[in-house]
Amino acid sequence: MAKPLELLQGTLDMLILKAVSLGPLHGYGVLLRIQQVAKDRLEIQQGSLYPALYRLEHQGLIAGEWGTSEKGRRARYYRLTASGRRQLTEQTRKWQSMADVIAAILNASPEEV
Amino acid sequence: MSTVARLRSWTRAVFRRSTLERDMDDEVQSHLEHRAEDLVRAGHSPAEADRLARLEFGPVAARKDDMRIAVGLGLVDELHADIRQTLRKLGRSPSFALTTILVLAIGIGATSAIFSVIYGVLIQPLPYPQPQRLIALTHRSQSSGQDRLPASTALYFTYRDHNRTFESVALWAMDRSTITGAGSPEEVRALETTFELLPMLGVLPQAGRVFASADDQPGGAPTVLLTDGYWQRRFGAGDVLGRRLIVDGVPHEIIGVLPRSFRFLRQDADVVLPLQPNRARSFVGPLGENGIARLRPNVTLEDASRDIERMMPILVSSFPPAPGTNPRPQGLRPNLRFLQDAIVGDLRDVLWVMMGTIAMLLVMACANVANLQLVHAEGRNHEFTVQAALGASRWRIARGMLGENVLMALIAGALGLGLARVALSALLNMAAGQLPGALEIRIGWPVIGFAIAVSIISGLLFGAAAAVRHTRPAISSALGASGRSVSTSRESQRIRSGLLVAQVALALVLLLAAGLMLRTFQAVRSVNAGFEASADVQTVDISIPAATTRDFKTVIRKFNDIHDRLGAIPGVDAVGFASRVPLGRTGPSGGFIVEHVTPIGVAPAQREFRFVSPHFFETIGTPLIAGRDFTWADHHESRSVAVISQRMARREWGSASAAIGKRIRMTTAEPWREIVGVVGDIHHESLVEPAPDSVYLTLGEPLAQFMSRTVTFVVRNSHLGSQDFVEELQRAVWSVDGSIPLANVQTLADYYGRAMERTALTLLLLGVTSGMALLLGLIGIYSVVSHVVSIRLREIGIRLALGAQTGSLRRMLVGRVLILLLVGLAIGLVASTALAGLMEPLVFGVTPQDASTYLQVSVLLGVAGVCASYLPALRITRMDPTAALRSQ
Repeated sequence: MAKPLELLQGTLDMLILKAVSLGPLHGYGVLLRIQQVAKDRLEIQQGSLYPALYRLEHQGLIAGEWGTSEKGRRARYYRLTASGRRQLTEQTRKWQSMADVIAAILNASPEEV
Repeated sequence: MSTVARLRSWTRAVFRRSTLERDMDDEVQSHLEHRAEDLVRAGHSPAEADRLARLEFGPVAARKDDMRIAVGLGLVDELHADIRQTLRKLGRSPSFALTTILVLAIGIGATSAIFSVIYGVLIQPLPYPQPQRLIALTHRSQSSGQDRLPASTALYFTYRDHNRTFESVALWAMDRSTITGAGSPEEVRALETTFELLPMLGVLPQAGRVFASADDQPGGAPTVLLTDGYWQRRFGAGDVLGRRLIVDGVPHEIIGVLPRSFRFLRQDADVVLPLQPNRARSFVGPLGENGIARLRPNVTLEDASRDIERMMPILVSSFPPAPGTNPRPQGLRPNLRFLQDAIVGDLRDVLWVMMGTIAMLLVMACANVANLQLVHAEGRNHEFTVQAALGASRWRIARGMLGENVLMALIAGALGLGLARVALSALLNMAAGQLPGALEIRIGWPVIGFAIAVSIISGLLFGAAAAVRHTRPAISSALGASGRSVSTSRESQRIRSGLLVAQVALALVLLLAAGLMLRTFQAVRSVNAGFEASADVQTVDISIPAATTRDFKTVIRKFNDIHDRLGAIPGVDAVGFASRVPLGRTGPSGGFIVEHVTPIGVAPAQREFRFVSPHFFETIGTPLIAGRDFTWADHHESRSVAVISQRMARREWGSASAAIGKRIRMTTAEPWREIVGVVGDIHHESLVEPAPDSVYLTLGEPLAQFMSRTVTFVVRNSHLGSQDFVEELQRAVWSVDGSIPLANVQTLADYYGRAMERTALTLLLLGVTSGMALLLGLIGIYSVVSHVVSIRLREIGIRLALGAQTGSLRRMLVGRVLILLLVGLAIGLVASTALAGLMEPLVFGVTPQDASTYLQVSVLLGVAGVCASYLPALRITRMDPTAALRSQ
């Protein structure tokens, strides 16, 4: 198995928004969901998740609430807010067009230039 | 993403901090537990799983910091930590912090209190629009040398009609008027003014109108304005417009009420009357009213002076000389002053001396605190060195120290403002009669701003020495020495010696100022005022207005009757009256021609004249040197007689007895007055100026009926119980005429006290300031010596063990301080040459360079300094050499 990729600067917030858009999750759950989807190809500093969650909550994009996890433990669940959903749509669109542009540049053949 | 959301989140984070912290802890814990459970399921042992989960999470404290920053707590936390750290440091040495704050609070408080007075009196503009264009029309007489002469109606008309530099000109005078009608008769303070004054000052009535030109014409319908205070007091703030007020027996229509904010110079008026200057009865000559003018824009005082010089010939050609006076003008020249300067007067000198001395005291307080700081910092040298070794920059350490100082200084400043408030009310009480009422003195924003600025500057100032000294790290040596260093403190020793010298020098300057003022006070006290300033002599103003008693002969009769009735009161030893009492209001003056002496055609010298009753001199204790006192017959029969002062008799005829029988007169048209008596010199105007040449006249003089319907009775009584006595006086006066009120009830001692007030106030302030300076200086010396003793304890111990005498060791320590003391005294003596110039206008009977004062003060400070240094040196005597060796 190849060495997992390091997360690109500034993409963690977007991934968290996407993760909680599929349903409320606690912090560890967010981590698991991202890794599950990424099939372990992404390396995420576990500790860095929480400052990001707090920042997003501070910005009003997600809302946290205490609940009980599937394992019967106390955990803080985050859900996407309306403005969080708008932000996610916006960022996804931006990311995709950015990815297209970069891909186009990287795939360019000499005759296209 | 909205700002509102962030603000809500931030507020929650700040104000529900404990919830946030608990949530963070719980959440991290929850993560670790979930992860560990998964790891156990993957086959790790529980202990191993726990360890791995923590490892994967990373440093918890750092993460939590990041989380705090994420919700906007970064700056808040940093600031909070700084303040907490500073407070903790100060809390660790509370006596140091407390002493520093107290010493500074006294310094800042005193400075702020004096500044609030300076601001209110000298800096804050007068409460009128464009006050810098208002000037007082004062004049100088070349023949008599008087330089604060007022104006006259003739000058008013001349200036009003012919000037090129004034926007408007007005005339005013303060008088007392009697209000009769409903209730008992009442004497009120009346401001008489031409119609231009109130518009010139921008005063708008709160009801009705102010004077128009028509109200101000001679013979115009009588009108009156009420001030807010009198309106409230007399009419309960009721509807008064159009009602009649009987002023001096004449009904006046109330046309308006002035606003509450109305203040005019030092005067506190009850009513305002139109002056109604009469052109037909205006003469070149006597000056009795005050002139005020508003300059046109961009006109200077010099322009206005030149303009007045130009108008002087117009004055002489437009108005006749006063009936029978010498037709030649008296060499009148303008001597204009800005209104603010005219109000402040000679207070300016006192205030600047005060500010200077208080600033010196503040510098001393700072030096003292800097000293403390150095000692304190020495104890913390290790702490600073560790900080430097751990990589803190020099600037970072200095910032920490200065921040601490500024914080302490600001606390001291807040405390100082509280002190200033207390000090100011005490100060204003003492100076009640001295400070112009038109100005407002209080602790307002400018003063608070001043206090804050002074706090910050002094915080930086007193911390600078220690910061410079202790941020130059010599890491290895200081760490190694671990506080047992003697040599490291050599540099701070030098700084502290410098501070000590500065404190001694400043203390000397302040003590010198106080010493000079004490001499002045004694000198003024010892001036023979020429009368007995006794509390046994009651004074009371009584006036008989023309409206009730037209004929002046009857007025004299009534005064005579009142005189006799008052004399009949049991316990009364003597009674008299005069148009002005000594040290009261300034009297009129006129040129007196001396028979066979004054050359024909030359303007005679100006002399003050007063109208006095028989027995007046006897009552106030002024000796009759030659001749006789006035009799009632002199008054009733209008005999042409005069009494003069001894000084004038000597000047004109060589001796008092030579003056008897000689003759003087004011004008060539009037008969000669024979001098019948010579009395002792009286300081009418001020104690510190020579007694003026004075002429005393009878009420039988034609002039008296214009000038003396109000007189001040003096009653010497030996029985006490003031209020009862005043009632007895009142009954006696009312038995002659029930419409006469008594006003301005005082004693001669009160008049004397007011004349002493400026000197006494200055002495008191300087005394307190220099006392504090002496104390600070001595504390400084004491602390330097005791510090030297404590850091040289080991050395002293060795010396003692080797057999040194305690006496010689003490001399060694004290000798060092003595040298510093002498240097400080020398510098102080040099610095006080600057003080001499500042003190010049304040001293009397002593020169600002008075050698004996300098010597005494220097010796006092030197001896006190040696005592202060000897005290800690005494410790050596009681010292056990072995204990000293083992110390530190």
